[in-house]
Amino acid sequence: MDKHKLIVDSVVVRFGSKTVLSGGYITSETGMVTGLLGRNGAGKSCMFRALMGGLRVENVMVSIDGLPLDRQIIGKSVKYLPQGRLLPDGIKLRKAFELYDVSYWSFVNSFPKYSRFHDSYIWELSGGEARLAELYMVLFSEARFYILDEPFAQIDPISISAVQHLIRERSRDHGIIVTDHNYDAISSITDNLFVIADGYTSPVHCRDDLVRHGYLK
Amino acid sequence: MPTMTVKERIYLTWSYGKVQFLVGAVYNFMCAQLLATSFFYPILVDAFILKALVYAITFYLVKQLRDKDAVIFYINLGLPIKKLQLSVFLIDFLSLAVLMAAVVVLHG
Repeated sequence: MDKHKLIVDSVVVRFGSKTVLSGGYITSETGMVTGLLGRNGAGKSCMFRALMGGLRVENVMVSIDGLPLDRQIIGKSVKYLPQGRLLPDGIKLRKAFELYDVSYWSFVNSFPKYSRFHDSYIWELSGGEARLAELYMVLFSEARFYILDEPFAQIDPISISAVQHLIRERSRDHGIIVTDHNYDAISSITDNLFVIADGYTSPVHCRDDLVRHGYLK
Repeated sequence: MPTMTVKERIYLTWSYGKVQFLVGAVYNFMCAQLLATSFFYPILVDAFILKALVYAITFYLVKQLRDKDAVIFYINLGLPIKKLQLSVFLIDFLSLAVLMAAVVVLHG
């Protein structure tokens, strides 16, 4: 298995006079699940959008194995599951899976109830059903790294454990970054943690670090 | 990531620029109709100037109203957004040019 390392550094995001991120940093390695925590509005999603090119940023440095990454074609190396809806409304589920080169029937093997959604548009699914389908599609498409922004949101407790299992399975030969407010769901699958507070990212070594950065009481 | 086929690229460009294509098509046909009925050549220049304005307004509105995560679907596929925007722009303007040329040729 090839080992790769993704480094996202010096992320600066400003909206007018408001500075959201002044020193965003996160790293991911093949075989590891990295967690990113932070309070609402701390800039977690901003950092990911900045990385992917979905947001105009003042500064961002992205490299894989020490080589700068062309952010115009970042999707070939890094796949991102955003917090909001990923699939455009006019695309059928099977078509989206086809474009992402993921077998829809493997997905149905893991989640049998989706066999009836094969020919459905994403808006025909409930929020949780759509989320799970998008998560699977992203996680099983070809890339070196996956970034999952609140993957457990809207997903029922039984499916959460299935998703955790999928994340662990994929992390064997990929690097994964996860963020979520479900601290227990995150901490049980991550190998290392970061927290964003006051525009900066800091590594988390123990629970006290999270208290110190105002994430936990 | 497997190489994308031409058919898939066309499909994704259509999916990305659907609103702009639809607004553009309505405008293009209106201009063609106007040229065919009045057959007044200076209208050609005005049509392209107004087209640029309509395109800019549509582009701005789509950008403002579109879900901020909507572009991620295309970015994940390794498609540069600027390239997609440029494709939509070129196709829209070229279709107006082709349509106007066709009207001029048909009317001798």
